[in-house]
Amino acid sequence: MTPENRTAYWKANLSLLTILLIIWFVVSYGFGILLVEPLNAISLGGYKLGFWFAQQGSIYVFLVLIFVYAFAMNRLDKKFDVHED
Amino acid sequence: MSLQLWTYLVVGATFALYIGIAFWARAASTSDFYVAGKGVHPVANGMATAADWMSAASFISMAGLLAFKGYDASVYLMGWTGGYVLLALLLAPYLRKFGKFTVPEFIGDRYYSKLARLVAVIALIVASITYVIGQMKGVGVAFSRFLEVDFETGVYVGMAIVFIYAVLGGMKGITYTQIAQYVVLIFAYTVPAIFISLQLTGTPIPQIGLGSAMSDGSGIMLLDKLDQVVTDLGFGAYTQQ
Repeated sequence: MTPENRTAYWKANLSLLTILLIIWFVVSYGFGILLVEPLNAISLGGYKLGFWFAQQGSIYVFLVLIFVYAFAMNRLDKKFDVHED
Repeated sequence: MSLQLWTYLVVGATFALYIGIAFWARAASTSDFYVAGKGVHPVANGMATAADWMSAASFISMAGLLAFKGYDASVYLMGWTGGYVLLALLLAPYLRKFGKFTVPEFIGDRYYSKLARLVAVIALIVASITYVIGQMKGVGVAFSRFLEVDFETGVYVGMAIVFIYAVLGGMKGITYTQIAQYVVLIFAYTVPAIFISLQLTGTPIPQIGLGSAMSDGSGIMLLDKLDQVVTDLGFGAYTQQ
């Protein structure tokens, strides 16, 4: 990889991480803890929304984040030709 | 057959399975011992990691904490699972690309420092010992109940079994026994959850059942009923702080 490519790759990597970690923080700490009271006013079936985020929603989002990361990183690796096999 | 006999049979069969797997997958080389020969399929590795998550601490302690503390115990759910996200995004990919056996090795080489490596080793030992103490407490409780012996004997028996398959199989043996454990644990977790959900709400999916109405004809939501029951008993509501 050329130095310019290397910087571009690392930059793309960091911006992907930043976006994913912001979502990671917002759904758990944000929705599950800080905003739990206002969100509890909304109900999702028998769940209060804030409670649902704390015990279930955040975990579903976490799973999605890991898959999105793996997918996006594979694509990035291919684009910069550093993928495995 | 008595319940006691059934317990011995089922638990005995699972241990025989784990030790059998450890013997079959015993390590033949150093790389087998430390990193399972680097030849474990990703899905299989995921199953082994999941079995790690569902350890004695979550099987015994976290279930109890959630039942007892309700919403307040959500931090354990978010913390444990959220930690895996950090691991998967910030550490695991670099460790893999670096191609080293262990985290201290990676840290030592990455920061060109033997001291950094030493610090990583110490951090690793402190974290593992804390973790093992918690797990062994769980093992002791489970074995002393199951064999009807005292707590210390329970710990020794449990340690002896783990010792056999860890030393025999190394990381390879552990990975394959973890996969077997994953299957056993998933079964043991979901069967009661599905049937309790069916009985209380008529929905076979527990995650939906917890948010549905009771099937006893009262039309009250399950969580509202739960809040009501625990408040009547003098505890805080399940879904509130």
